[in-house]
Amino acid sequence: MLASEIVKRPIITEKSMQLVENENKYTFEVDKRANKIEIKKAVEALFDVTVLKVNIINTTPKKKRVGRYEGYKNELSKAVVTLSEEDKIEIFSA
Amino acid sequence: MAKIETLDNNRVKIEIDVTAEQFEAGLDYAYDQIKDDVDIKGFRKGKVPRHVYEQHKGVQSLYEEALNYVLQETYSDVIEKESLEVVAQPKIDLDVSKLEKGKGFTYTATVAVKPDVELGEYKGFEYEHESIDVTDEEIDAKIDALLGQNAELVLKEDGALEENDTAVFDFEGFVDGEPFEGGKADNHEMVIGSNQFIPGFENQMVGMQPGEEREIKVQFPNEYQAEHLAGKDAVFKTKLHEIKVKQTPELTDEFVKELDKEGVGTIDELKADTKETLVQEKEETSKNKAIDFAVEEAAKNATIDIPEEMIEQEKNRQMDNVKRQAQQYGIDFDTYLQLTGTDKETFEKNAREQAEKSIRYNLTIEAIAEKEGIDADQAEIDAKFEELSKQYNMDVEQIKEQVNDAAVKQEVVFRKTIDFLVENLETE
Repeated sequence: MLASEIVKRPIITEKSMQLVENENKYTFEVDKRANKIEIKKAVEALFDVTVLKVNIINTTPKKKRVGRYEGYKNELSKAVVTLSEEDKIEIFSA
Repeated sequence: MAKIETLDNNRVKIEIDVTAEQFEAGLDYAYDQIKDDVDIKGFRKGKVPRHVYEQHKGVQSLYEEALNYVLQETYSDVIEKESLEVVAQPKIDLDVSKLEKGKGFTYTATVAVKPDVELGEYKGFEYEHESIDVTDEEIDAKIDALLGQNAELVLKEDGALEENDTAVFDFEGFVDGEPFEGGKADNHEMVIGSNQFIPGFENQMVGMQPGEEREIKVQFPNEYQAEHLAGKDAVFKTKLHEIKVKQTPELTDEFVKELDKEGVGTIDELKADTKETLVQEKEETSKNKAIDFAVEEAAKNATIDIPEEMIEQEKNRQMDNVKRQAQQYGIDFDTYLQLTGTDKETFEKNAREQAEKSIRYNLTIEAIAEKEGIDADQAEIDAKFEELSKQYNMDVEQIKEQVNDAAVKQEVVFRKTIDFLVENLETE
């Protein structure tokens, strides 16, 4: 898989911004099929940084109903990537 | 830092550099102002960091507020440092398109500063104080007026309606045979000859007897406030109920007693009292005239190059005052102009003249005060506060909260200088 296919988008929320600030951890939405090693390589390639650790969170899809149709919200995986101290990813900070 | 360049007409051009840090502080301030209303997904309201906001909406959206802040700060800083006496709002010149985050910028402010006053002669003008003598005729006239004020309306027993009588009557007006709004009233009281009604109406009522009914034909004036009636012929059906006449009371000791004035019980005492009031009034007007004369002459001899902005600002202030007053009476500015019989242009021109004059006077007086070393000490300022507190019926403390010392001091110095000018008139 291509690096840009694995890492889909940054997740920017209050919580994720806190992780950036305090622990140098960056959160992305990633492809469900990717494993930690692939994610590590993808992030390193895309942002030119050194990744120390990758944690993955799989979210359980929520049931949604629109009228009489039942369905699910997208199932997604989040990866919390810890970078080495001197590294930063631009899109998260000013 | 600032570069200052002096222009003509007492204006100063200031070039002010704003550092990147100052600009950044301005942006911070601007964001702080709107922060609580920023709503971005993933964040609670008020918790969005500035850089996230900037990514979404662009830093430009903060510029206006930031500039307000930065300009205000840096500008007043320079004014204070250079101790410039600014007399009008500055004109700011700034190329917004050149602004860039993380960089400083430069802008210029053109301001009018207080002009120097070159005083001419301001002492020893020849002037004759107005006489403050009161003649017997003046006293009598005053007392007659007093009697007139206390006149009562009494029913006229017989005779027809005449000029100056008060008619009590019903009326209903018709235009083209149709009654119109506001054209009907019962038991209306009107003094014949007071010209309250449409021209011709009152004249036609003269000679009516109580109980008489009469049709009055008039034409509404072409410039009538109700447009749909202007210029139309109208018929008023009127019925006269009563005629009342004014009866002025006789001047007797009883009448004087009824006035209930302290220490005034007889005709002679009333006359003495009236005389005293008249003398006071005349003294007041005479003094005011002397002041006007003295100040005007002094201002005429002074050379002042008043900056245009200063006049403009004063003019606008005066016009705003008038507008506000008009509003208090519930009329808009255009109506006010109509009522006073001026148009906007003349009004503005007059206001401008007024503004220039009052600035000229003020500056002249200030300059004289400085030259003559006229100053106010604390006791005098306190006395003025005392006076203000009586005038507005407030505690001295309250007044002090609302009016600052400097303004009161200025006022005192002002008065003293005017007195000084009047004292130095050459009188015979």
